[in-house]
Amino acid sequence: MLLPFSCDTLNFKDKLSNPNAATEESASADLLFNSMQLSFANMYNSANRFIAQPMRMEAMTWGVDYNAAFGSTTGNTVWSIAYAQIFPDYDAFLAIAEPAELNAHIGAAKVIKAYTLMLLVDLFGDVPYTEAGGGVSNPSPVADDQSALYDTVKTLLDEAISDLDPANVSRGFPGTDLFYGSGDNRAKWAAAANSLLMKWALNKNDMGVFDAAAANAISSNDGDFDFHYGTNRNNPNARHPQYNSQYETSDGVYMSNFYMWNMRGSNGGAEVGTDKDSKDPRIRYYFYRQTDTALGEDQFTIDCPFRPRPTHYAARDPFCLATNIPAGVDPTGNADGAEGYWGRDHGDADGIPPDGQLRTVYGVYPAGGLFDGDTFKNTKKSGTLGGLGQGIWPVMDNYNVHFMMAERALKGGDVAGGRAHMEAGIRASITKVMDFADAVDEADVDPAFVPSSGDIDTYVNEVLANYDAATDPMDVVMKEFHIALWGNAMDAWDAYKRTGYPSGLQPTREPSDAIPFPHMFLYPSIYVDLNQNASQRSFGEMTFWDPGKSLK
Amino acid sequence: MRKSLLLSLALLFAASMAFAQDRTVSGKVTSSDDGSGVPGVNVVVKGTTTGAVTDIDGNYKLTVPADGGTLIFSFIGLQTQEVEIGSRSVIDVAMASDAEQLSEVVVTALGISREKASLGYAVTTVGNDALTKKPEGDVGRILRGKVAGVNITSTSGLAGSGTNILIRGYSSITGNNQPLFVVDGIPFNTSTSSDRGFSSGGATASSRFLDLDPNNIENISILKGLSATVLYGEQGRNGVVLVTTKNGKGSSNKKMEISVTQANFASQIASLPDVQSKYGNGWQNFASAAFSNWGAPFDQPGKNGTNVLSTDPNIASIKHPYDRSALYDVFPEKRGAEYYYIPYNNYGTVFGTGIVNQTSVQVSNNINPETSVNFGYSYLRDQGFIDTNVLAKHNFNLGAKTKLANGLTATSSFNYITSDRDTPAAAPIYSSNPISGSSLFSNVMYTPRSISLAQLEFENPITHESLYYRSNNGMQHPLWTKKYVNDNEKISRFFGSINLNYEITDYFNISYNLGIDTYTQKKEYQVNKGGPQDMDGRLETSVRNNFISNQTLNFNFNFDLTSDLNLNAIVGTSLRNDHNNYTWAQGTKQFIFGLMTQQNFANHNGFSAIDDQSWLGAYANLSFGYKDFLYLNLSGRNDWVSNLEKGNNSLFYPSVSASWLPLESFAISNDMVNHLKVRVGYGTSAGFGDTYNTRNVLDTNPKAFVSADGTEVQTNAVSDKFGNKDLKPEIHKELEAGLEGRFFNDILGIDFSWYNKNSEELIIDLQLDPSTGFTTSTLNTASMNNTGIEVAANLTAYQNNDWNIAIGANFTKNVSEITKLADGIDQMPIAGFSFLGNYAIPGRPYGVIWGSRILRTDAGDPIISTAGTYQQDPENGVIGDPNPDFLLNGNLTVSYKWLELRAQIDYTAGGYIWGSTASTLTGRGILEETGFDRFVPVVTTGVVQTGTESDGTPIYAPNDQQITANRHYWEHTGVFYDENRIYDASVVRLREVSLSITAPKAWIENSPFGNVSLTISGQNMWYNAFNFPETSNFDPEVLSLGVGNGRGFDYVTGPTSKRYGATLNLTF
Repeated sequence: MLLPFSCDTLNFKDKLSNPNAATEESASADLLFNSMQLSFANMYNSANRFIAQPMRMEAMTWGVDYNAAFGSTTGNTVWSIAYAQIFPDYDAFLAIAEPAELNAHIGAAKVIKAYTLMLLVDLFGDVPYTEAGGGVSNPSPVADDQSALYDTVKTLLDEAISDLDPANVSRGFPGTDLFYGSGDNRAKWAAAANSLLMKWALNKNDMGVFDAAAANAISSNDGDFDFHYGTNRNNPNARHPQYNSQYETSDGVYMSNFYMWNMRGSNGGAEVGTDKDSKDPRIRYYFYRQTDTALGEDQFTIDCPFRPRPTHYAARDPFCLATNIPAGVDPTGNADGAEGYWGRDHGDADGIPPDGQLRTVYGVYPAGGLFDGDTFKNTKKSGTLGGLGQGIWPVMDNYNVHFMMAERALKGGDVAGGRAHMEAGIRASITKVMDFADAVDEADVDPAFVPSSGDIDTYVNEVLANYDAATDPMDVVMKEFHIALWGNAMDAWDAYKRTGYPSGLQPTREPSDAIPFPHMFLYPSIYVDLNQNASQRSFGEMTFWDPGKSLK
Repeated sequence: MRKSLLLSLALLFAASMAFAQDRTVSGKVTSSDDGSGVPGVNVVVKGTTTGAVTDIDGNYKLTVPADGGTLIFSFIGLQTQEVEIGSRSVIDVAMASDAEQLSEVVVTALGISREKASLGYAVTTVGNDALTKKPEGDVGRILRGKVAGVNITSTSGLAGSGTNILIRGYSSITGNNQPLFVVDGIPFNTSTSSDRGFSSGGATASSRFLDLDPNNIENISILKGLSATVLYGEQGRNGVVLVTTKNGKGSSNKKMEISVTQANFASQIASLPDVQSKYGNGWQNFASAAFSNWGAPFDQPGKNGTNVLSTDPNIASIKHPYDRSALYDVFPEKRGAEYYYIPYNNYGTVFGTGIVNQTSVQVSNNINPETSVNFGYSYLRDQGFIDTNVLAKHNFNLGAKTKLANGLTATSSFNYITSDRDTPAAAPIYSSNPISGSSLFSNVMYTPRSISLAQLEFENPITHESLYYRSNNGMQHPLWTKKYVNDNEKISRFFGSINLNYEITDYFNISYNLGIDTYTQKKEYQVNKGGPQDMDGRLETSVRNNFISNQTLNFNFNFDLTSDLNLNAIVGTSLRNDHNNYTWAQGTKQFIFGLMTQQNFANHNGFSAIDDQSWLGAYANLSFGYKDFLYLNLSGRNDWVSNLEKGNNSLFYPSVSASWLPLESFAISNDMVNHLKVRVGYGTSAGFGDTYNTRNVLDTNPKAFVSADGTEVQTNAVSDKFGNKDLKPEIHKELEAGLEGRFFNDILGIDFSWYNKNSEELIIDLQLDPSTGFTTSTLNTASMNNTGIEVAANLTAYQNNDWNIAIGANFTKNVSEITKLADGIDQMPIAGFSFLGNYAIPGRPYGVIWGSRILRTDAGDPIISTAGTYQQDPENGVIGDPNPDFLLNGNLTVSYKWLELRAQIDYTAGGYIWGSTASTLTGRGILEETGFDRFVPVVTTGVVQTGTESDGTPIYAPNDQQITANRHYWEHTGVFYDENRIYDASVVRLREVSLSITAPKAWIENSPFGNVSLTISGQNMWYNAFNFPETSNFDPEVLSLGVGNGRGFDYVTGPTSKRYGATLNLTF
């Protein structure tokens, strides 16, 4: 009987492997390590995005209070990247890299893994680890005790430092290092590992570990542990996520009115409640204003000048500082002299008016956008402006190390040491920001608006005077740390939990004292919903190391 | 079909043994309907085995005893007649059709015709008369409401959009639940393919049964249960739709026939809200360029932000929306201009009346009794209610049949289809701009009352950029979308088969069928630059080549084992291969506006994939018939498939069914009960799942990143999907029982079925907690049950020579329950988003809707915040069940002589839908019912916490905080909480109504026409979804998640349409 095509059709055994994909056996350690680095950046971005909101670094707009703003889907992306991308890629990587003695790769991979695990514990407390990664053989891994996981973080960092020891053999170095560039960067990775260990030790309140690690930590801006984005716009889009969201077509996030007010100084005394008279030298690098006025805008486009000041706000709390509508025109007087720093107050979850070409956006640092030279451009120009997105995520930097040393000194009662490290931290931060802008977009850095060394000294001296006058100088350190950590909300959040400072953060616009600050976040819905052994927590729970300061 | 099959059956059984006879009688058998000759009528001398069969023209001739006797004329489907011969030598007989017997022979699996009485399972046949002369070119939609147990839903009212068909519920949790289509013995690809997911506008994709031409369909048989479909193996598990075309069937009763059908219809939007005309664009009763319509009242010019420029106190106005610095050079005349703040009519600007034309010519010729051909062509141009939405389709068909002297019969059927479809962008929306991509509907439906789509220029005349009333251009003008965004699809399809049937003896034949179905589907999603949804422009091009080859070889036996026991047996094998390949390219950043070529785009990326799957089946079917009142069917099939690992890739599934005719068995005959049949069946089937799920792959990206120094970065990554080597086939087991009867002199007919289907080891794409290291895998862990009843009833209410009044009804109820997902998994998303979608949850029906809820006390009262508003429950939960409680469809036929009125009314009871259209229009202050006095504040019903008991229990008191009406409607009735967007989708509908005029014979007997008829018909002319906000007038028959397993979501992806017009049919 005639049976055409039968031979091809009956060739069943060749139809099992997916002809559209490569096989696992063809994996390469270098390329798995690349994947880990990119996944890390994505995870960092996602975490920073939501932690920046309770930390008043970006405006909290997802809800009027913490409960409404941070539901169980908040942590899904971080969870998914950590567990389904970074950890399995690490395991596959290690299986190839260990026999090949790629110790430089291995040390760097362990730093990434340690950071990831520590972030998971800080965000969620007890999380799966020993039972994780089993695929369908264990669909519901049980969570490990968080303090044991913190120990694992330390072990990983210790191992990383050892793997990165130049005394060890490393048969090759990563072909792509998106943190430090090509070459033998083992010393820099080791310093980064030690610096992360310092944060670990501060959280754990383990000064022995801190002091040992501090001796080998990052000691210059040259050693800053930053993820570096590129400028490629399409196929793939390799630019800083905040550049993508604010310099293409979309409106992007709202900046925090509080954070901008905090850096604006008192404006020659016109502004009530600010800690400093002098304007922060970094403000034109952090923020780019698309307009210098909200005069003539209606209530719909910007409603806060038309709203009564919340009655639960203290006298020093800023409210609605986006505009410079003169008194008399501004019915409430809320917005005098704000120079166009157009953001939102804490917990302003109103609908979105047509203000995308008016609101303040990320500047040149760290997103690779525009330096604010009073140019007031519309930034939605399809990715053609400023540093073209060649930004960074400042994961662990020299300034960060100095601030941690300052915190450590004050814990030990060393007020002078705290003062010196704080100053070093501020200066390292300012230098970093200014150098960065010159590196990625010198053309747009208008010298007329670049702070002089005198401006910087004025600023630093005012901070030091505040330090000297403070009842608790830790508050001043933390205020400066908060500002320096632009782009690193995670460390600001940990420091806030550790110390209870900075004080005076803007309250939510609606009264919400009954709803606790997120010391931890709700477990991700993809964990609680899909894992039989998981159950949801409530806001207000704390990690094992959290001293339980009263936060708001 | 029916007649020609019977012809061969009659030839097989008509004994022609000759005894000594005296004389010859001849005559002609004609149809009492139209006077044409009827071939194949069995003519037997009563009490003898002497007989003959009428020829192609209806003539017969036979010898009869000299003393005469009685002739019995019989033909299935016609009323049997007994005629005294007497002394006549010419006896002409006109035979009338027999309503009772029309359904007696049905097409079953593998195209085998069987007497319905012998079947132990439910089969429903839909004839040609119910398929043609409809304002619809989509066979799936024509079948809506016509068959018990079948639930058919259109995805939208856009011309050519897809249709979801579900038979006896969903039985696979994440797999395919659409039935198998078999056309003239060939498995026919009916997939709904889209390059974009539903979230970026993929829900409007067409389903490939759109390629069938209803005019060329002879009939459709729907096999519902597993007892009926077991011979198709796993592919028949969701039911089988057997389509028999007219190809190769010859002319029904004449030598040659030409049939011409011309149809012209109008297509209009059916689902439009009534709007209020008291308030305009704005927020908090203040005129502004908001998305919403909570602005100033129209009747208070000069207040609430109006008349900022104007001094005319009589009419409200605002600053012209295009009076903005960026447009000073473009529209200098708008600078300082004002714009009337008055209600405008916008729906009429976008939604019009589309014209649907269909022309069909079918020719058939019976060249001689052994050979017949037919061929045809039809053209459909279907323009929807948006003028840029057009489907143009050409169908060519050719069939031939010839019987050779040696007993070999060859039949062929060839079809070629080419179509071209343009569809406007219809991405889904929550409440404002589309979730991703462009949507024509989103920005039209909730257009603020004081914005005129027609008056506001939609593009910058120099750059062609979209302009609209929001100064930041954050909204795409709908008319820009309509003109500059298009979704095009071109189909080129061939399907055909050759069937050889070799009759070895009168009780044994061998048949072989070779079929091919192949099509190329080319899609282009064209977005010009300048629209805010896709500022740089985009061109997505894809090509799919789909190829199915199928062969079956059957050995058919039919003999009497004893005088009482008949055996009908089939032993066969089939081999099917599906091969698909897919290529996709995307260009972004358009260079020259308006030019849609890939080289006109600056950036490109691409994707390609192939898919190859084969099935080898061997099967047998034994049908025993005892004395024509007891029948037993035994079937079994073993499948071997290419997509599972060895050891798991073969499965045998049996079925058994029986039917019993009690009246015949006890030889009872009375007028009250004319026919009774009891049937019971048990069938099994499998599901082998999709390809390439058993082995892990490595994710690779040749250009994952480009570092600042320009270095391209490649990556390898462990795939997020876990390859499951142990994957096995899923198992479906169904028990069904039924009762069929006709009563009261055949006035009332009832067909009742009950079934209980257990589906086990179901293959699910399980979303995993990422802490397992993977986000998905494919597993055999789930199980579910479907239980249901189907009732079809028909009543001949009144009948005489001129009048016929018939009422039919069918009832469908299916209850599903997920019984298990996987150890440790108590819920999984199966369609939509994970935070808002259809879920499978053990103990619940399939696909319950999961979404955000309002925070409530244990007593169920909403907890109001100190701001006076609801709060969100941090946990999402089940907010509705989208499955209807039941479907009840009724039809009425009233005919008087040459006039016939038909109507079909469909009722869907229950089932919930998450409705973006209704909730958005309410929350944004558009609906007529939001035209109340908005200056009066509102207190939301609920409780506020006033303190805490010593044990920590909160103390609540009724809420007394006032908020504005705007805020209440926006947050509490509108779009904030999914719970508030759930509506009971019960709907009653006048699905079809038609009036046909068939020219009486007397009028046309001297004309060349054999038949002339004119049908005026309408579809979806009225409906009422009575649980929706009254003025929303919303029609819930939409599926914004597209064809598949999602149900109960309206994302404003295309409202339904109504169609009406006329069809003229002429036969020569």
